[in-house]
This record gives sequence, C-alpha cells and structure tokens, in this order.
Amino acid sequence: MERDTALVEQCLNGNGGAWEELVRNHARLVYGACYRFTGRGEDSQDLTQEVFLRVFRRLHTFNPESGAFRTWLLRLTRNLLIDNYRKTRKDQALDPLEDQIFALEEKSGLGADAERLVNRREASELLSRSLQKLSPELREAVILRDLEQLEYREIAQTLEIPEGTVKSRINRGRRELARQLRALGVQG
Amino acid sequence: MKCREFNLLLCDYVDGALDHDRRRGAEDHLLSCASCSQALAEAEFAVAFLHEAPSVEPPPQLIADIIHDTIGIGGALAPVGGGAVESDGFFSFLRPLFQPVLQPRFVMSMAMSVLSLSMMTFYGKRAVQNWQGQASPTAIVESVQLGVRGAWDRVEEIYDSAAMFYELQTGYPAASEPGEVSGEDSPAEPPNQEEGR
Repeated sequence: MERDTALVEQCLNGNGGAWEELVRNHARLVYGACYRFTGRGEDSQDLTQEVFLRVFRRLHTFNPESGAFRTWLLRLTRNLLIDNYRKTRKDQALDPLEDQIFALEEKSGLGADAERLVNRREASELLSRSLQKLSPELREAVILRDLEQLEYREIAQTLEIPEGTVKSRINRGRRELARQLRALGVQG
Repeated sequence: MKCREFNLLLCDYVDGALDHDRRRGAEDHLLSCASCSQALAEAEFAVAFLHEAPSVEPPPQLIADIIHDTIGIGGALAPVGGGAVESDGFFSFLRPLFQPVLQPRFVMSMAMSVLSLSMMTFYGKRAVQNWQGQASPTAIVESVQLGVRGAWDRVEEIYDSAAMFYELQTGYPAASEPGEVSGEDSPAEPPNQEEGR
C-alpha cells in the first residue's frame, strides 16, 4: 500500500515509469472485477481502459489519508460499472449471455489436459452466467469478497456502506449465487 | 442462539472469522435448525465454487493500450494536476494539433531520417567525385575513410542536438552512450529516483 502511495506521488511529479508500474500492478484487479461484473471480455477491456483514464485524470484527488489506493481504485471501478450497468441494462435484458456458445459436444474427443481446460472454462462461463443473475449490489459484494479477496472493511470503504450491510449483502449474494449455479445444473 | 443472530454471523462463520465461543454457539444452533443449515450449505457451496474459479488475466495488449492512451508512446507523463494544459499560454489551443509530432520518439526518428538523407547526398556525391578523379585503390580507401570520419562527426553532433531536444521535451536527461566517461557531461540522476525505492 505504501508503495502505491509513493508511486502516485511520483506520477504527480511527472514520472511516467511510476504510472506504468501502477497500471501493471492493478490492471489484473480492475480487469477481473470488470469481467466478473459484466461477463463480457470486450466490454471489460473497454471498461478497464476507461477506469485507468479516469484514474489518470483524477490522480491528484487521491488522498492516502482517506484510504488505500486499491480501495480508491476499486471505488472508481465500481462507480463506472454501476454507470455502465444502468446504461446497458436494456441491452442486457435482450442479450443476457444466453447466446454464449458452450462447446460441450467437443469434450468427448479431448485429452485429459484439454478436458480439464474445457472444464475450467465451463466453470468460468457458468460463474459468469450465474453472477449476471444477481442484482448489482449483491454481485459487487460477492466479487469483491470472494474473487478479489478484499476484507470487509475495504469493501465497506469501496462501496461506502456499513460493514454490517456488506456482510448481509455477501450472505444474500452467496446464497443466491448457489441457487443460480444449481439451476444451471452445477452439483455441489 | 436464534436464527436472526445466526444470520448476522453467517458471513463470518463461512469465512472462518468467528471466535471460538461464537463459533460453538453457531454450531449448536445449526444442530437444531434445518433452514440455517441449508443457508450455510448454500453459502459454502458458492464460496467453494468461487474460490475454484480460474483467475481472469487481462489481455497483454490491454496494458499497452492503457499506457498509450494515457501517457502516449514516449512514456512521458503529462501534467495530471489539472489545469496545467489549459493554462499553457495564448497558443495552448495549438497544443493538441502538434501533440503527435512533438513526441520524443517521433522527433528522434525525424532527426535520424534527415541525417541519413544528408549523408547520402553530401558524402555520396563527394565519393562519386573522388572515384571519378582518383582511380587508384589507395586514394579511394583514403577518401572513404575521410568520408566515414566526417559522417561520424556529424552523427555525434546531431545526436547531441537530439539528446538536448529530448531533455527539453521530457524533462529527463537522455541516456549516456555506452562507455562514456562520467564527468561534467554525464547525465544527472533522474528525478524522483529516491522516492521509487
């Protein structure tokens, strides 16, 4: 965390290398959150770029005393995701990931490694599909806790809600996700 | 413990964040409550699935695109403090127009192209004249050596000019040549190097 703050300071002093390091260190976090939230690779790339553009423009507003850089970054990401969700809600209703092609029939002729890869890809697809069925509030809470491994306190800061509400949303999100996974035929 | 209390603790229970006493209280409640046991089973199932999900890697090109969109090809960080671009004087509106050609890498390429062309025309012409005037092999070798030495001097001159231009553009000292003796002309320490440690 200290390193991030130092990098931000260097960026503000005009150090391009520090900015590059910040991007490299956090691109995975932002892209992962975007991908799991939207379930679409192409949208996630655009959103990740947009997040870093916003961060770049607003870097001077980051205050280390009010939280870690990661929390600030995730808050910006989350706000953009919610904005994007509101804008594209109608499109999503018409195109709710059901058009994604599953290569189940191709599995039979594959070797063990390839089959495992396909299984992992399927698991990832199933997760994306199930997450899309959750409300944005529950989805973001589950993603931040169980995929991005944030502490409750960090999630509370990111979402700007009390910790109790965070836990309640995580609970409801997990249970709803379990039901959606079972509805898609995943056995636990 | 009642169901309502258990619900408040469910998240911590699944994440293993409960102290011994409260965990025991929750387990006692689970023994006698089917609906809370089902809630726990669902939450644990979801967590197990989420934890086994493969991590998502950004495409390698994405990072390069972000860097390009923000600080450009040259890697120099534009002012991010806000307002610096706008308060750049009367001709600031021309800045976006010339931004692409003011990149240090573009300027270096242009300098090298001009250098190549000038060398080709100037020394090429001279070499042809020498060739025509002095047909002996020794004279030709000497003429070529002279030409190469002259070209090298010009390269050094143009490199120095380009390095100075680069420094003015970026605020960073240009890299020294390999084997250059450090002294008055050696580049200064880059800014903020201490902060990066």
